[in-house]
Amino acid sequence: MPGFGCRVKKGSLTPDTCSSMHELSIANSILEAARAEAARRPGARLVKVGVRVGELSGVEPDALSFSFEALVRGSDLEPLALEIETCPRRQRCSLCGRIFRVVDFDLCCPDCGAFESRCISGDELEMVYLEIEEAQVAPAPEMGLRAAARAGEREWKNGPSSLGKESPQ
Amino acid sequence: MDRVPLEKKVLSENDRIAAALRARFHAHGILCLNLISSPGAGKTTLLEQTLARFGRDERVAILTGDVQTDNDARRLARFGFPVRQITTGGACHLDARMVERALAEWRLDDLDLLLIENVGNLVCPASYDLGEAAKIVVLSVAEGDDKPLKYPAIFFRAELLILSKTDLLPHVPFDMAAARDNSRRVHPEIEVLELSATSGAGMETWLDWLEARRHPTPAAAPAPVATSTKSAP
Ligand SMILES: Nc1nc2c(ncn2[C@@H]2O[C@H](COP(=O)(O)OP(=O)(O)OP(=O)(O)O)[C@@H](O)[C@H]2O)c(=O)[nH]1
Ligand SMILES: [Mg+2]
Ligand SMILES: [Zn+2]
Repeated sequence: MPGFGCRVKKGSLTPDTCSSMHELSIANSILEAARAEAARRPGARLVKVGVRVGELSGVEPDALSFSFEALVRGSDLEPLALEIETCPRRQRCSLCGRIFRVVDFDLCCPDCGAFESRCISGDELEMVYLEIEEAQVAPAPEMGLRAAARAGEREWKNGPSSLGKESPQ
Repeated sequence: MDRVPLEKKVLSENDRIAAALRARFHAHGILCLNLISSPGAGKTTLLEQTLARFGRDERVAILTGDVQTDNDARRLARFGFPVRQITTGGACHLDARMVERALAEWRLDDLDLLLIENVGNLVCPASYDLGEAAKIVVLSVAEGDDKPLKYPAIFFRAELLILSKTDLLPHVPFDMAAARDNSRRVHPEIEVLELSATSGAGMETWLDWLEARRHPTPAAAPAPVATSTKSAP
């Protein structure tokens, strides 16, 4: 759906529609990426998609889960699940090299007290994995079923008359 | 059950288009800036006052995004520079494809500055790369000095914070020092300037910043933005 933004069908999302507008468009991008990946594996069923969301990404994990479920519900992808791994902000101290987790925006190095550091994680918004169920019944019987269906179709098209008066070939 | 590893950005498709735009801007020597703020922080007024101070020969163009209406484009078109409205029809941010489409009818050779006014929203636009050289976040003093901590994503990604509507300072409880401090807690390298587009105070500093960004001397080249390099050991 190109151009799909943070838009919501009227009345389709409650209770926190406003805060999940953004996440809805992100959820949609995740679904598009998952669909594209699934299209490369005919017969496979998507079970779960794993994403990484940094605390500086601007994406709320709860709102993202909510939006994702809302989009999947009733769609061909149901019951696709979403697993979110949240990533805290980490900085590397420019003086002593210590890597530390930033809590409450405190950028002071816990080892040497320096304030010079570089952000090394926390702004992620990434697809991490797809869990896929390959066609359980193995490709062969599946194709067998399709062939049978096709055969049935042919039989129907030719009609019962083909059995009697005229030979189809 | 198979688990297929997929190391890619959720918005990789947008990023791909944005990277192509960035390469085009670079090839044409265009500085592209993406202005982001909550609704009504004063983006259009700042752009109006900026265009009003430009000479007729300035090779500048404006893209302005809105959910609905082309009010902002009409306000900006009065100055005689090329302006295009991107009406998102619901989406609360611009994305790279919208910018790519909007640029289709312009000769990039005729430009050296492209100013993009994003849709008024402090959250969504932060996630979408438009191929800009820098994001600029505008925060009006009427909004409160705690906003950098409440909406860190955009302050983390912006190269410049413009504290706007400073003429209102006598009427609102806004602590300039706290605002600067909060924005630096999120993004230590962020540059900050204060202005009032209506009184004109601080407009010169903004125009100087713009000029320096357009023609960086090697010594004054912008410091690298704090980006994440997740794979670092
Ligand atoms: N006092 C004062 N008011 C301002 C200033 N700049 C803008 N305004 C007013 O703030 C209101 C919103 O300004 P706009 O420039 O339309 O804001 P915007 O960020 O473009 O708004 P959206 O595009 O709707 O997000 C208008 O009524 C402006 O006149 C300023 O420096 N001082
Ligand atoms: Mg505007
Ligand atoms: Zn240290």
